[in-house]
Amino acid sequence: MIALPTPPTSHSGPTQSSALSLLSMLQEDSQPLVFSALKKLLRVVDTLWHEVSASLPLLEEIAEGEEFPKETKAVASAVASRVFFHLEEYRDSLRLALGAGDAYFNVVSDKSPYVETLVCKAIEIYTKVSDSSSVADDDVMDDNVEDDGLKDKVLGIVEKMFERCYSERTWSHALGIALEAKNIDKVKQILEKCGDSLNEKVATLQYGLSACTTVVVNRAFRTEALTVIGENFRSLPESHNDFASLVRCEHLLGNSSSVSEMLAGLLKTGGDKSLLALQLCFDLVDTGDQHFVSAVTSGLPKGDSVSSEIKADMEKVTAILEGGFAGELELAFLFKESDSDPLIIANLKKSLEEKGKVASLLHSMSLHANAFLNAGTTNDKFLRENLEYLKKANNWAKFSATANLGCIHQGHVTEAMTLLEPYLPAEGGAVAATGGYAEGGALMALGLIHGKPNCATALRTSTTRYLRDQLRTNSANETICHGAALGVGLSGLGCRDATIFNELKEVLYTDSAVAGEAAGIAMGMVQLGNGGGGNQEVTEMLAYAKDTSHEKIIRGLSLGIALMHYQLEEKADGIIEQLFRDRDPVLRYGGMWTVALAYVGTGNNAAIKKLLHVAISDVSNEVRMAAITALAFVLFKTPERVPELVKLLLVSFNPHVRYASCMAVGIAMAGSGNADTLAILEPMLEDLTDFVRQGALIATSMVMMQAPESHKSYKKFKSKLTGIVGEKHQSPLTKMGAILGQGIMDAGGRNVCLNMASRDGFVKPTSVIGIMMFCQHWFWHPCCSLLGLAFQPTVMAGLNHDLAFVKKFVVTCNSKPSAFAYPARLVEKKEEVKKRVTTVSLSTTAKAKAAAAKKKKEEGGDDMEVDKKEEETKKEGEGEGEEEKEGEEDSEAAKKKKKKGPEPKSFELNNPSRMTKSQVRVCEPKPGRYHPVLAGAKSGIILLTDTTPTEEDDEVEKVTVPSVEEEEAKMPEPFVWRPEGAAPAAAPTTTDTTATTPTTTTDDRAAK
Amino acid sequence: MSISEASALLKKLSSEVSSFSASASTTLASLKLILVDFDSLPPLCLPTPDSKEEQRIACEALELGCLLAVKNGDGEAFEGNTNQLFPIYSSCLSVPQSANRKKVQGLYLMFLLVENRLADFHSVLQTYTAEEIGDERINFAVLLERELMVGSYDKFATSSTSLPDPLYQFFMTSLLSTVRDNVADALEVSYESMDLADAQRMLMFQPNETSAFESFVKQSREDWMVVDNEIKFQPVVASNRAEDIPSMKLISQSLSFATEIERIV
Repeated sequence: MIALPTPPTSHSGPTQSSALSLLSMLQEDSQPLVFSALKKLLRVVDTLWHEVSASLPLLEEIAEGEEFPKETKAVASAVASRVFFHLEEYRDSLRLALGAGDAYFNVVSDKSPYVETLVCKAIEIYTKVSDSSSVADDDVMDDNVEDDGLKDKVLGIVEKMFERCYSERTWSHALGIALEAKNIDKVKQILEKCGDSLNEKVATLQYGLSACTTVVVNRAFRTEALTVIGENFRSLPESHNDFASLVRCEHLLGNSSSVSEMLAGLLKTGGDKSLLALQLCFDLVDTGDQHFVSAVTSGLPKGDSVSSEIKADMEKVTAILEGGFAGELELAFLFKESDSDPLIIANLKKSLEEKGKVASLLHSMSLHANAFLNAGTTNDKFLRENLEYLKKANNWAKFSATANLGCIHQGHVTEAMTLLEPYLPAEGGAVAATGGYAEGGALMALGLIHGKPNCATALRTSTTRYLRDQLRTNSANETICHGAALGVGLSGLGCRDATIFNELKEVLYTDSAVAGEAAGIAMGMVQLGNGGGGNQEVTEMLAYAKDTSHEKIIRGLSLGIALMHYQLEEKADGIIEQLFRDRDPVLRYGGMWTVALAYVGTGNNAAIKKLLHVAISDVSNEVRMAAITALAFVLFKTPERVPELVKLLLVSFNPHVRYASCMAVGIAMAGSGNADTLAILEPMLEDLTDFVRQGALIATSMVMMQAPESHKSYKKFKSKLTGIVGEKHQSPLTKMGAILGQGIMDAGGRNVCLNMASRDGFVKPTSVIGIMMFCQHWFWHPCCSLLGLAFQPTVMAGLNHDLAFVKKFVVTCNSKPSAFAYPARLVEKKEEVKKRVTTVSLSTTAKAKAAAAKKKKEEGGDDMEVDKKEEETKKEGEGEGEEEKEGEEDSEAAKKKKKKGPEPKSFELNNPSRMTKSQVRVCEPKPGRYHPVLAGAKSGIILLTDTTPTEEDDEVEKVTVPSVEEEEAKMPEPFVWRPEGAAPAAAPTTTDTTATTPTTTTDDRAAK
Repeated sequence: MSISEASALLKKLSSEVSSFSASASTTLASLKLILVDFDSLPPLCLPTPDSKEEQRIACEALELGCLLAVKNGDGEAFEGNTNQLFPIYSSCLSVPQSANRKKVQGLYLMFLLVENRLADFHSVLQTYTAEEIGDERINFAVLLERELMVGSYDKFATSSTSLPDPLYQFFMTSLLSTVRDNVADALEVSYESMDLADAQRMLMFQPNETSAFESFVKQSREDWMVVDNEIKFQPVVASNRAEDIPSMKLISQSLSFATEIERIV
């Protein structure tokens, strides 16, 4: 251990001090003198390094020359190393420190900043050196890494660091280094060493798993590391095992059989373990990897010799994996909890119609906005009530209008055919050469309805068959073909069926621009992620793209190629390179999307570098746009990096670049409500170019998705959106942005968010495709509808063993209710319109609750009733008899409200409820009879363990799918809220609101 | 112990220097080995019980070292010693004035003049007090510098005859050759040819130093030709012409700038 240099404060002499005398001694002939001088220099070098730096050449000469004894050389190295350290030349510093040896550079016990910094540097070099496959363009990889034998010495240092980590039991540090250095032997060694404490091992393995998906860039090594981690997970005793992580690991490796085995094993054990199996199944379905899920399903044993209990569980598992139970649950949630405000679209329509004729662009966009607003909620009331307005859609607008039905009814697979019947091509009818817009749109709608992989597999397959038939019989009509091809692509997403692919290819070879474009995209969807390594099909598509004269077909094919390289990472590099170099800008455009999809969510630096280069150097605006938008895809797991990266591009002179930068920011930061992001988008809203304003409006609404009314920018932006539509001199393109923005901001009844990742961090293909296709609206407006695929319900649903909602399960949200409340609904201005929509409110104060509960009790209701009522407090959908009581309660609560002080610090969420991305952090399941089977599960579908299973619980609710067969739910009677002694007309806008739609509607239906 | 050892060595050194003994350098080296371990000296300047004595010994030893180096005609060693000595002067203000101090200070200025390090010369001069500058040994160097700067080389020749200390001779000799070189450079460009006798006078050779003059012309001015008692200077090499402008480089640079600007987004 070296003596620490004396800090300057302890100097008692004159402050002015100089190392000059010592430095001049270095040139003396006497070697002992030089040695003594050096030793003294070492004591002062930390304060006087600026003077010493002038003598660096001399020091290095001493350190590396032959004439001085070893000891002198070591001190000289130590001095020089410290000077380099202060000069922030860490590489040289490290080189010399290694030369100085342990006496002056002790990595094990010395924790000074000097040593720590150099060790970091050593690890950096170590990882770079051992990762020889990476591009050697980094500054660390100088030529002389190997030359001066630094490599071996660095290895020694890192080895010591590993030892230090072992002795300090900081396994995750060691594992991180090993993973970054791609040293599989070390990984094995670390996992072996930490085995003596099972808890630590589990934690280390979990860390390793997440590091593999986030840090490890190289695909081959990731697989290798995951294999090792998987083996270790499997070897853990069952009592300590983290099954969720194991499933994730096996999923990443594509080991469906071992997942099947594990599920079967868990089911056999029964009890909580079978609950866990169900939970794992839900998580698996949530990843959206259709291919893997079906492989797991087929691997499940079809045992007949098992007990009935296990059999029942097996059936549930199949229902979840194959039967589309998760989809039904989502649908039920979106339908029931929808907070879609009909006035948004009604007002939009009104302001569009104010000036007489509505431009077809804006008309069509308003229908898109309506589809977004009600995406997945099956609420098509606006369309039914405004058939006149709807009829104005012609040609392709008609196509989109029909396709939008698919967006609204997404996941409603059981009744898809009934719903779309009126629009589908007539059975055996003559094929018209022109027209067929509604028919084409309906076919695409079918695809959209069956697009999400969590719906029933059997129905998906039959729909694909139906769509293929339509594709064949209507081959003469390119509009129908277009819709059918996209429909086939969506419903057969990732099925990798060669027959379907060939059928689509036939459509392509008819060389019809419109149909061919769709066929190209659909081919990619069918073969999603199946195109790596000189695939024959890719070659064929590329050849045809160069052959045809239709730009639309080229674009379709290049997007198809991009889809075929989904998540292939390095395997796609060949085709990426080829597309990048192509002379045709449309193919280059496809190349950008190939990067986006191949590297989606990896944050791969090489890919980002490529994209940024194109973003500023390509001659074609479209290619630049694609490159910038692609950044959002590659970086969606670290979204904060996107605004940082494109900040400069946002002020580009090129409006296309500005537009794309807005979109990239919007896509990456969707649903975050991030104030900084909004601040950088804000000036873009006033941009001089109309389509940049459009992009900014769309992007801002993406960021503001699910934002509560209390959000700082909410009111301003909302009024801007509505204002722009009515403005007389605003450009149609900007208006288009405002209309779409209105749809996106309150999409899916305010219960969905744009998200490319599943809850487990897997990339969801449907979401990625949805957003990618939405970006194509630049060329083809009907593509807007596909955004619906990317909406993911932000749901928290607790299920019991029978897969029914448990009402007793409550989640506490530790924040002000207003931070996550649904925004209040708009209020109709005109008096004569029936006042259906008033501000509704959920009593939030503990006081009010207590009062309500007490009241109920007095009225003879039991506990469970109270819970239920509480949830329904102040909802207007109650029956006649209830209304009076409700009214009383309202006034009761209102009185309390007047008295009450500040907002409460926490509130409770019922089951099921919306739980936004940012809300998950502050939520905690409330301890009670039920608790999550998987500790730490907070959002999504949560399986619950019952602590007292013997006790009856009649407060459960089956998952019910909304049905169109029945009449629309009866509208509640007009209801005016009258506080005691207040003026009758006063709208209760002051009350605190957590609005929910009537839950009773489903009950009503069920009753029927 | 070491301090007594050091003072003994200092005494020995002092006598050796004055007697110009060959063993003086070794004595100095061993003394320095002791000095380097004194924490009271810069850069540490820590207060030790014997700090005053230590500083005094260090000063005197190094001053002697300086004088020794001059006597040996070793400029490098002289600079090394002053580098070790001057930080003590500036950091340890309580050190008593020694007999040799002003001499070393003056010699150091001379040394800087010879090295033509005028910036250093003036910054060192700033650190001297008015009383020090008034001293004859230091003032000599100051005046000398002034004369050289104005270019009154003839005055310089006269002052070289009245040295304040014989040790200054070493530096004066080198200065004279520096001055001579300057004059020769000026002659080259000012005249096409010149009479030998005139040249000898201009280059500050005494009338009796003809042989020295001739060897100077032969050795350090190879391009001068002596023809008929006259020196012919070579014509001055023409300065850079238009073609020496790196036009290609500039053009390619401008072009690359233009492309970069195109790319700026």
